[in-house]
Amino acid sequence: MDVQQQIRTIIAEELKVPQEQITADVHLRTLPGFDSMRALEIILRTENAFDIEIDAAVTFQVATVGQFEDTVRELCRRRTPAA
Amino acid sequence: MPESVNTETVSNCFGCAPRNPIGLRLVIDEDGTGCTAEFELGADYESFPGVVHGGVVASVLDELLAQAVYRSGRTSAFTSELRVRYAQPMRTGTAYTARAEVTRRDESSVRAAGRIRTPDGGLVAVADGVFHLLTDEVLDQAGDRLPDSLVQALRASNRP
Repeated sequence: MDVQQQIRTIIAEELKVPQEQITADVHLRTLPGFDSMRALEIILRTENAFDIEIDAAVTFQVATVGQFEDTVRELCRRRTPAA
Repeated sequence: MPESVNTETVSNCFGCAPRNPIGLRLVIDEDGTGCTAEFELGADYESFPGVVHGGVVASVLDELLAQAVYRSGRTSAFTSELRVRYAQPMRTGTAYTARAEVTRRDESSVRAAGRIRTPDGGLVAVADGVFHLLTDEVLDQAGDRLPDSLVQALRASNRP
């Protein structure tokens, strides 16, 4: 499962919304049920899924699902040591 | 401070001592995988009216993590790093459950994670901490920078 699919699964499960509703341009805060508690649950599950640490500031910097996915991709890239 | 310090000294730990009048007085249970405390804090621990101070929330988690670390190996440790993230305000006069488990360990430090939840499972705060182990070897090397009474208590807690 790639980053996009995995993150959208986590968001869909945490917010209990159909995955089709979660697209790159959707603003996280407009998703039904999204609040600070759900945001933290999503961040914690994402950290565990990808073995990364997401800075608290991401909550303020990231607006859309696509931006969140880009942030996770970048953190995964930094985590992987250069060959 | 681990509860075993009570065998040599009268513990006044802010987190767990039962008789500290301004302490949290957490009652901590352990099972095979970690530590749990059910607790309720009053207005003495407020920031905004009806809301428990964020630093106190961090103290609850620090205590639970430290207890999980100590009870996992019966070696004293001090907090060297604590990261707390808050999801929602903790209310005064409301029951909560805190739980912590060890997540990683090497010969000098232990990492632990913990969460505070509402009775219906809502996430309040999470913490991740690193604890430096105060083994007898560490106390041998660093003990001269600590008060004798503290070193004695720590050594005693390493021999439950």
